[in-house]
Amino acid sequence: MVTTVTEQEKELPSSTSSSNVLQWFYVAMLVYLLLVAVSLIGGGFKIAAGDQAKELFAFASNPITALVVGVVATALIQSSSTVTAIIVGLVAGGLPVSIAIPMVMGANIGTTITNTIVSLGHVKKEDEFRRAFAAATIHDFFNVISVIIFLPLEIAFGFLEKIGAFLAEFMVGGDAMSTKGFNFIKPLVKPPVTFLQDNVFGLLPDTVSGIMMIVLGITMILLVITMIGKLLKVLMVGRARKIMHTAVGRGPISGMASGTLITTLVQSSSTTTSLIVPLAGTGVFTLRQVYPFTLGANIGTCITALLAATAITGPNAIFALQIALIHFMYNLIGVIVIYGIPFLREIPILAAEKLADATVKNKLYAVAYVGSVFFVAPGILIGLSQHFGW
Amino acid sequence: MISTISNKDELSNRISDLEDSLKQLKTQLHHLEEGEQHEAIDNLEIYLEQIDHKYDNLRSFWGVAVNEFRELFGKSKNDGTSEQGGKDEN
Repeated sequence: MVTTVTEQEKELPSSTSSSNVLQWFYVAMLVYLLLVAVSLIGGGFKIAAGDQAKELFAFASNPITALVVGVVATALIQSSSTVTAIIVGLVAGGLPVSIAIPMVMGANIGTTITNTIVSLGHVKKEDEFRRAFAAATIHDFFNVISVIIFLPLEIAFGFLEKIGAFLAEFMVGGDAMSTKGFNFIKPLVKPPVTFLQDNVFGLLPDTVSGIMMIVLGITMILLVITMIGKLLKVLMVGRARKIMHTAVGRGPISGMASGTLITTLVQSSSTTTSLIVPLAGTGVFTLRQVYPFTLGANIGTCITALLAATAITGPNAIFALQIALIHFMYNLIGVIVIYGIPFLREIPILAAEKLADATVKNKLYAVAYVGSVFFVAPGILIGLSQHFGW
Repeated sequence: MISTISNKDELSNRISDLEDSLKQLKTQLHHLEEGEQHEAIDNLEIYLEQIDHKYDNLRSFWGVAVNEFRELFGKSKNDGTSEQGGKDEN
């Protein structure tokens, strides 16, 4: 009997570790497929639109429309990683970076719907619901304020576009920090894309084959990111726990760092920000403790777009890297400015608390809030911007 | 009831004693809170699972919201009826 138990104990870790190895292999394969998918979208657009890609996106040349496209698409898909990876693919296919920037900003707002939905599950316990709803909506308010501050600045001065261009040039074009020499991802991604382009879709007319490639790419990204998220959630739970244990009692910077790290590990800001909602709901973590953690998630989620940009080949590769870097810089600058300035830092806290108090008294506030922020307000904004020609 | 202390030194000693006690109590509270946080983090899987029940969350919330809406609508309708009734009586 004793020997049997010992044998089982001996067998268990090895079987667990072999299953882990297998799961890590799946993750690696899925990341590879993600890179292929992004490359497919870029290639598909080039084939389908040729030099007309800019004209194709003329409908979103208005920054408000582009912002709304980002908000609604992300709210519907419930994954900013998916949307930003698709945007990187579109930029590689010819979508102008200036149009992609408001889309990326919109993706930041759209992704916050997931943790708001998670907080609604606490509705039956009043205090728990108040805390959970505030912990969810603090992320929304932060991202909305970030857009209110930075979108007009971007329209007026194009500062993010310039920062992104400088960094992309520095990384790809500069002699000192050039990544051209050691980018092993592009040669790995190119063969399947070329094979699909030449053999599978090559028999079709250019426009049709381009559209097929785009559709296949988007479908693959949707599936792959969902599957990566599920796998990493299981694989990374132990590491996430360790990171969170380390951050306890160490202040906001540590909270931000842990939010960034966990989001990078699970490749999903929705998972990180939704994870903290029930923790805040129990009252164990206060709203002020949760706040920096959710901001870290904003920074950590940029890893997917950066990863996607490494797969792009051709003359537009630098623009794909530029938009991925802009996504990162926008989130980083947002955290530094809004959290760094005490007056601005308090606004999301106060707004989340007030809304949570009102929602506890009348649940229809939550319905009105979700409907207006993610769907009605974007519609009104588009209407106004079209009418006044903003 | 705090007794009145007339000696200045005694009073400042008392204040520093109380401040030390307060600091100790705050540290104790801090440790307790941190202990609870570590305990919650140990159960991370439970919280992670909740993310997968988004549609159940929406459904349960929707039920509560619809009830509140009905109550609100019913209440205002009743209020309207009683006001009408009052007017009729007058």
